[in-house]
Amino acid sequence: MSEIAFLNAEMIVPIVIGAIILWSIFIYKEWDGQYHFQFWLKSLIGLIAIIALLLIFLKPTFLCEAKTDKAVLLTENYNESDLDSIKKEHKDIVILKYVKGEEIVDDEQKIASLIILGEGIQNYDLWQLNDFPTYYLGKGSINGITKLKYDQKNELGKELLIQGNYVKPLAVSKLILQAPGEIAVDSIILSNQKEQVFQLSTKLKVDGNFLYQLIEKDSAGKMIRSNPIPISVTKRVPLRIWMIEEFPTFENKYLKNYLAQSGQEVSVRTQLTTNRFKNEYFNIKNKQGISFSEEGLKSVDLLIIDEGSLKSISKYENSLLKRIIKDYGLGVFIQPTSELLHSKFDIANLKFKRDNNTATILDTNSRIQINKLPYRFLPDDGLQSIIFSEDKILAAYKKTGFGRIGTSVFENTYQLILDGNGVAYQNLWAKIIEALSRRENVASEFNTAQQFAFEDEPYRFTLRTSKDNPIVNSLDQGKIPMKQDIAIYNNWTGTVYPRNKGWNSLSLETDSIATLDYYVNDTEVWKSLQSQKTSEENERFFKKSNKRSTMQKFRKPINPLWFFGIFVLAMGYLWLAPKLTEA
Amino acid sequence: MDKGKGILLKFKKYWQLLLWLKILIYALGIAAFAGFVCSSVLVFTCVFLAAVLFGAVVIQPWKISLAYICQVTDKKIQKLEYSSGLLFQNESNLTGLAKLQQQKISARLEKAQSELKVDVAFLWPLIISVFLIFSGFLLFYFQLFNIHSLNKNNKSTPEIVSFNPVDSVAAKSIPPNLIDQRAIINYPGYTNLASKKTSEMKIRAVIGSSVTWELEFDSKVASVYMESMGTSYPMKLSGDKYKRSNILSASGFYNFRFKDTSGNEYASKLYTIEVVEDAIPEIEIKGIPKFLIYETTDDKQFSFEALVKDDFGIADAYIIATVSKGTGESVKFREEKLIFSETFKKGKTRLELSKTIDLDQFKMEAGDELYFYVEALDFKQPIPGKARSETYFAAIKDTTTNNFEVEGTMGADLMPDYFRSQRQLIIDTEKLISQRKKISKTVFNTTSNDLGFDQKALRLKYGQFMGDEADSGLDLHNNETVPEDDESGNDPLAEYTHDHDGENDHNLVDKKETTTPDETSKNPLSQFTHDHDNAEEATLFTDSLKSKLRQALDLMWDAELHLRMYEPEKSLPFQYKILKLLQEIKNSARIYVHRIGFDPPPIKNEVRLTGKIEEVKNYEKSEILKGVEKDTFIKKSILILEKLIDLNSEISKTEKIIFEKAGSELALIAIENPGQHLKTLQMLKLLTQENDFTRKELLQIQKGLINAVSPFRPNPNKIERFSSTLDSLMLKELENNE
Repeated sequence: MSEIAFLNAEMIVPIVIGAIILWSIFIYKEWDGQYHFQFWLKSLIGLIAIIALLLIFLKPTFLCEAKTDKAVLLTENYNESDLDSIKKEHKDIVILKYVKGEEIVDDEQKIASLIILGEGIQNYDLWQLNDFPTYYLGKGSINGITKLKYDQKNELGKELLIQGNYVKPLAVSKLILQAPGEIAVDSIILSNQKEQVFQLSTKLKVDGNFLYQLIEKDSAGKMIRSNPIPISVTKRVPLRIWMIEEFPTFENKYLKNYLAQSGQEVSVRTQLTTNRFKNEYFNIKNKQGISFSEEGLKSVDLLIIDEGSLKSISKYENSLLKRIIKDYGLGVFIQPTSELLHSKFDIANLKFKRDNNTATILDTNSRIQINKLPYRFLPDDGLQSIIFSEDKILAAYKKTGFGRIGTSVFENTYQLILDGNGVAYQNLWAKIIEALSRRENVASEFNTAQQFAFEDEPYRFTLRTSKDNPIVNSLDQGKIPMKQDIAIYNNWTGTVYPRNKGWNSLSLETDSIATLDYYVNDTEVWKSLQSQKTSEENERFFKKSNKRSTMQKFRKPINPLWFFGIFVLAMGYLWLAPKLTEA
Repeated sequence: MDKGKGILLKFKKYWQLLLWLKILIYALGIAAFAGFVCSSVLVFTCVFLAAVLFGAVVIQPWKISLAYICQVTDKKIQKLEYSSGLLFQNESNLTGLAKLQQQKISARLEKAQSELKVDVAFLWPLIISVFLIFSGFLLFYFQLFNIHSLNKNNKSTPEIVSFNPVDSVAAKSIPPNLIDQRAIINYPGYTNLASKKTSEMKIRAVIGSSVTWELEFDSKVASVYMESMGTSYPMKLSGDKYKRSNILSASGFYNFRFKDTSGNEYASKLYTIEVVEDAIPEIEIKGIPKFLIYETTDDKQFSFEALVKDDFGIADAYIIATVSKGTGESVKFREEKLIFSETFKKGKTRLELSKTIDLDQFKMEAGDELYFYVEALDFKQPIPGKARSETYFAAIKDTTTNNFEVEGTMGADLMPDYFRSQRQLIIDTEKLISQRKKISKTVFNTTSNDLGFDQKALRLKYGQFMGDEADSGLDLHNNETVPEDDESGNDPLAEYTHDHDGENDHNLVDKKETTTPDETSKNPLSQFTHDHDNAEEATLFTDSLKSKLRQALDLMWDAELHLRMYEPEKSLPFQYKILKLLQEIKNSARIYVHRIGFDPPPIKNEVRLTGKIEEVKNYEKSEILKGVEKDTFIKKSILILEKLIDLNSEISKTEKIIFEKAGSELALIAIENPGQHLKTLQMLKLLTQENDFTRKELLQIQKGLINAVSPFRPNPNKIERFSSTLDSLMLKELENNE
């Protein structure tokens, strides 16, 4: 019986109840007080008629074996020769064509297994073949960009780095990165190879959502293809940096100037004598907050302190500092001195080894020399390097709780400015300060694993939020249903089907800061890349679901005419029988 | 007869006139065509004249001769029997028959006057001419042959100020047209440049020039403004023209804007004002090296040439010479202004001048130096531009001063070795004591004796300060001795002098021994005078110092004594004492010098180093640095343009305001980098006024703006990160497991 199932199984209870009631009424009508043969016969035939009626409604099905055992599913970029050889092997193989978003195998086709040719089916259609025996043979050759990596969300002033793979480029063709305003900012010549790795970069000068283009041109300079690279550039958020020094040094003075001129909120406290300080505030409007108190330290993102000041703080202040670092993520940079590195560095448990080099090369490309103390960091558990050169760690930190404590082995870095290497100096300190500073906690964060969004194709995103029941709004589609992760309550997933090309945005109703800007592309762009991705996904998917059922069975509904016939015969008898007995 | 002749003459004139008319018709047609095509009256006139000339040469109306006229007349009027030529024959020369015929012809001609017609065809000339005029007019009217677009590339023809309506609705009404535009540049007087009238609106002029703009419209306008660097200045109406004058002080941009009577606004594109700084004169000196050194015996004369150049003329050029005399503290300077040998006319842009200088004229002596440079002024007002050349030196060698030098090449150290310091003496003495056992007695004794000698030398040296004489028997300086007791008495110079002041002036009285040595020593006034000449009494030092020095000198005697007695160890204590005393003397001298220069405030000794810091205050400084957020509106504009390009939407009013602000930001950048961002600036200006832009134009503006944005320097940024309870739980676990 297990082989029989009903198509309208969900209606079985009300229909059966109805049938029983109907039969009861029928029996009641036939009952004339005597249990004679006619009564039994009529009741039985009535039952048969009612069951036939019931089955018309319930549509029973039964399993039957598929007669056609194999089919070929043709997807984009399939190899014609593959198809030919399959056809030779299986003369009467069914050929199916894949259309995005539509049913792949319908039940009536009685297909036992499926051979997929070409790049494969879209990941949003994969579920259709979840329990289906399939052989994925892979795609034919394509040319174009097959791998691409870049940060869609970037910050002002940072470098936009685009890395990728180009398969089978045309001879002496060019790949050009074009900024808005059709400014070519970087390019590379693709030599005629099987596969070429490329890297293009540019500095981001303006904040906002912009569309860069990756343009392929042939040797004659004619454009072959143009693929968009959407980028959202966010504004920078200044840091609040507090510098405490026992006495003024050139190192701190130059650092202070650089930070203040870069728009950071900088406060400098220099000790003049016992309990007398010189306080300087740059770009800080409310200067009351900065002090060695709980509130004061909480408001600071990074504390730059020298050895003397660190030693002179009281026991209470020391424990307060440690607590704020641990619980509130304060970053601390300790200006290094030889004595400091030599002594035990108890506050951060950083370890150093003496070496005899007092200078090192900062950057292997530019060969810029920088002075350093004759020490280097000892690799240790939890040591995060910020700057290293020639296998030596020159600046590093360790995490304690949410915060970070770090230092460097550099000495007199301001010498870089004096030598005319101002940019190297700025780069050096920007790296150190950014690595150490307190991370800004955001309540909600959007993410997506999908590199590009396409028109009328699902665009999946995840949301991490500490809020309960987040409501995500899309500009053109209203609220987007969200699904909570069963194990990690903070994670939610959702899918949008963008209808309009261009920039779209998702926002959280309760948190206006968290938004996801995404650019919806025409389906005509990034073909080679998408093809490669689909094929990889298919390979993964079909390798995982290794279903090899030898016989494909499927459910076939019983033709309702049969039941109708039984019903009519039963009714005919019930109508005819009294007439015959009367006669 | 005369009548017939008159008719023919008239006919000839008439014919010629018609030919001229034909030429004129042709010429008019051609000239009108050319004039329309070039839209220029000048072209019209020139072409017309040329065509008339050409036509006259080809057709030659004056060449119609009487003979030809007669021929034609005969042909036309058969009745004249081919005899019209007779009419011009002199009657007297004719035969009777001819006379008769003449009269007959004359009469006939009179009658057939109406039949005389000139066969000058006017149809074709008229058709051609009308066609030319009409087609020229059509070309002009529809601007089919746009000569202006060609002229745009041609710098010689000025650009006509074109106004575009600020509001696109206004385009429906017919805007007032500009008839005349003019900029009159008056250069500053000193430049000697004539004022310039131009219809070119890009102004390039010397700083301080005054510029007057004049605009004339064909119909009435409500108001005209000139906008420059964010502010707008109304232009005044005088006569038919709107005028505004300004004195140029800095480079910039400007445009015109006017309101017509119905309130519609129109604005022109941007024009540049480039202000050229008046350069200071350039001076070049030729013909002499930078340093000239002369021997005293040389001919101390030299000459040089100076080339002075200026862009607008030199007002003055001269030489400033300084003579320095003497050395060290006694150096004296004397400054003189010299003029060049040639006289020159002021206002020349290039001067070649020369000068010969004779050092003797400056009364220069050995060791003196002359410094000189050339200075030139231009006419710039109010402060003239001043330039000076490098300084040149001329010196006369001083042979009299001969500084003592220890030169390695001399092979011998001529520094007197006996002059050793007390400290050196102590060191040597100690060394000698320590070496006592190693060296022989004789060597020891000799060394000790030598040290004693050095001690003596030192004593004599310090003795000089005390006014002591070198009376020690050991003569350090020279061997020339002065006889102790001269026959001529006390005065060693007496032999060489001629005593005028003496009592025995002019040797009137025989020389006599009047005074005895005893008497001179007993000067009765000695008790009451302050004698400077007495070494013992000299007040070179204060008393305590003097006594200290005296003490030291006395000790030196003892030190020397022991050294001479080969007892250096006994001498050492004395030497130490001497050293101490000398040190004190030196220090006291130092304090003395110090006190001359600076009077320190009295120090309260009781509060010194007590650590009271009430006076030390906390110091606070606060600063908001500007210029961190640069090019804000330019960046905003770039983003707006990105949207406009992407969505192809209309420009809103707020966006226009942003573009305007971006324009003023860009103008500042453009001034710093002249000629770089002008096109973008102009297009940005249009963007604030109009609405219709092609994608290409928008891209071009965006490109221009992106290029204008200064690159971002490396700058740390706050990193945003989502952290959940899970993160803190994990951190806690990690900590617990540590």
